[in-house]
Amino acid sequence: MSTVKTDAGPAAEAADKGQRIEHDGILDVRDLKTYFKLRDGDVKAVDGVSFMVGQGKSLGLAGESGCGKTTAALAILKLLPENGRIVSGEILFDGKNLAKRTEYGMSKVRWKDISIIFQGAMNALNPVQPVGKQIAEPIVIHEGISENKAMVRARELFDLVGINPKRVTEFPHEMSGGMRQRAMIAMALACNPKLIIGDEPTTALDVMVQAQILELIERLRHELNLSFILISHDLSVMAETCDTGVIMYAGKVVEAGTTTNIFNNAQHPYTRQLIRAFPNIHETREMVSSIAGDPPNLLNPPPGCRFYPRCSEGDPSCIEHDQDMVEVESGHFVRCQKVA
Amino acid sequence: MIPPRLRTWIFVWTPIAWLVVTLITYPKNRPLRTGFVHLLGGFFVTPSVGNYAAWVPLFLAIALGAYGIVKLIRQAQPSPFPWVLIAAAAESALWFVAASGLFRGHFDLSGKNTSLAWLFQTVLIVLIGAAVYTWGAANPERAELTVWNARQTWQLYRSNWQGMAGLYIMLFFAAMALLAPFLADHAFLDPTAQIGAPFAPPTLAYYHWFGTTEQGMSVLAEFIWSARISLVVGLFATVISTILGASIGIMAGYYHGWFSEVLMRLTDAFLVIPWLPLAMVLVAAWGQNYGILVLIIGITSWPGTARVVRADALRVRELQFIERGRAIGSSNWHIMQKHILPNVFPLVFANTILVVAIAILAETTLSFLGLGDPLNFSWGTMLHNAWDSGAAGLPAWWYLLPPGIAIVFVVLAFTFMGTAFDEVLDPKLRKREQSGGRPDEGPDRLLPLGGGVGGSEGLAEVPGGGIWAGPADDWDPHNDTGGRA
Repeated sequence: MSTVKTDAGPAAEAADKGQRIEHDGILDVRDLKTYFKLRDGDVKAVDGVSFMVGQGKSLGLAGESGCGKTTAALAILKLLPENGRIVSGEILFDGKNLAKRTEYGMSKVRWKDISIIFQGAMNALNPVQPVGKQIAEPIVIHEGISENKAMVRARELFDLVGINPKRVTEFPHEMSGGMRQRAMIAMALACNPKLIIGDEPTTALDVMVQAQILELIERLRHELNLSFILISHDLSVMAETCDTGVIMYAGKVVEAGTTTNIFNNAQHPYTRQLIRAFPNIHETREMVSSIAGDPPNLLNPPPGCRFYPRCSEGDPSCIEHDQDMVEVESGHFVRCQKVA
Repeated sequence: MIPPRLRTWIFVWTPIAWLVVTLITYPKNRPLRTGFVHLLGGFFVTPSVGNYAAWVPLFLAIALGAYGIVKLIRQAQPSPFPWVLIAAAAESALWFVAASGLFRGHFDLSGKNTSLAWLFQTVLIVLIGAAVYTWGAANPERAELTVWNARQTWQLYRSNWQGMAGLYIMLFFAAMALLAPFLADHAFLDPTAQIGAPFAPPTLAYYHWFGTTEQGMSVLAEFIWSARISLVVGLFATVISTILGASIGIMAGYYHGWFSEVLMRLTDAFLVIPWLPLAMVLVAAWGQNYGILVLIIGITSWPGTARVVRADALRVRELQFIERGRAIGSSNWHIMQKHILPNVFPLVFANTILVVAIAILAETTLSFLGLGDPLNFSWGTMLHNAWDSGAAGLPAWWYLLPPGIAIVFVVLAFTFMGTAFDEVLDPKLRKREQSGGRPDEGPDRLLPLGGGVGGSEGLAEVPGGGIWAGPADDWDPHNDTGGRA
């Protein structure tokens, strides 16, 4: 069972001695802070985010553009751009603290244990290499087998994701968008990882293909007992696929719990407005409402509750009060002083 | 099963390669009348450690052997491919033992035994042909792809008149250089081999076609043999220049921070150093011979390549599959070699051909200034001699024009070929030329008819001003930018 942890337990001593750190679930992110250095100061893209993914469970990270969800995911694999860095916090994976690992140490974890499905499949594939060869690449690197043997595995993976294995020799431009996304999923599965991060895996696809891809991910997740982190701005996608959900706003988690909790019993005003911003097919047709205003500039986030400037339910005391996460029901946490 | 077209290629190109190598290694000091028995590879068999050419088989042996062993270890199914490579390596090593003179007394291949050297090069070429054959049989899919790619490139290249013109000019001069022993007796290059009076004008007799020099030697013989040195120096200097320029450009483009800065400042430094004085100083310091000329031209002409390649590498490194490469756990070296190099390769290749032209010009310049190899002729050396002897004042135009025109044509040919390859290998340039419009023009079904046909059956008017020629229901107003996006 996945839960969200609000307390950040220091595990630094154990990490220094190279011992196994005990933690819950397969991935436990505790109080992660990731900043980007700019000329004018630090952009606090991820500012104290904690969540946990259970073995074989899936977690959805949702929020507006620029709320830090992709940064949080890239920080797990330490794939941040040059000016980004993990300031504090722990990323506990399989008894190891990834936040403390060197680049070389990370190269042993990347893809072998944690793989990622990138946003646009057309850009994440090398246009001058056959797709099968690109899928074989991580297998050759991590398992040290010959390319020919890796190609055999690439064919199996193609079969697994529903592409004709004969097409391994084709180039990315010879495939359709959905097929390229399937190939990316095949690539993510190449080294039998324990955890897959899907960074908006269906964003650039049309709705039909989107449904097929989500179905495929769901099927593979159950067949292979994978843990999965889905990053999406699309709440309906999250509701459909994930066991637990985390709603982020301006670098902070505002609400977390099971997807049922979040959708049926949303407590944070932001979550409620986000849900209202999507059309509901079961109710009467009405205009969807958008959230007025823009997300705050993360160079100087507003004091107190970061959502206050756009919140319809807040009052001036929200500015003074820096609210912690509170548990409103079992496994359902909210960061709002109105609820607390 | 080997793809049939690859098999045809091997059977056509192996004899051609054999012919070319035999012509390159043909002993130039052997008169024609001694016939074919003696034309067997005297170039490699001078038994001396100082004969650089004799070391070529050793490098070949090391490269082929290393590749063969790597393939042997990594191959999935047993195939004869690595073994053929290793056999070729062994043969080449044996050739080095025979030709280097290092092992004299045990196994000596002195000038008399040229047929043995010829045997070595023949066996080597046959073995390399066999290696390609077994590779194609072991990896039929990849071979098919390679053949297909090469055919596509050739089809596109053929339709480019500039490229074909350049190719024909280049082939003409290459054939002249290769066939030099048959076209002109090397003995006529000997300073004592006068064929007539000094500065005698051209006549119809073969060696008098281009008249005589200030010493009464045949200009034609010098002209033909000069083609070899000019082309060889140009090609080898380009190899050095391209390897240096491409690797520095890729590294400077891929890495960020101080390392990239250092590389680019180094490039800038080489770019602003006036290369001619530098080359003159280096020639003075290192000596006048063709190996040195190749080296000097190579290490002074790479900065242009480096800058161009870096610019493209900067573009490629920001593409998402590079990030995916890092996420996979690839090393920097792996990413540069497998992802960046293939993506910038078309540029490198097209640039290489342009650098050949520059290198030939550079060689001509240095030789014209009297810095060339005094023991061999090149077109630049000929111009130098003509200028020094006052041929321009006479005017002995037959002495100045042939080398000058040849240089112009060869440089032009390589420039044409470089431009053509640039177009063939860069799909953006190609598309513009073939479609006659911008490649990013909207879907073909959006006819540029403007309004006024609205209401016709099957045609829906589109806000952008075009006409949607597909079924009317197919058009999605929410997805249409209407040309105003």
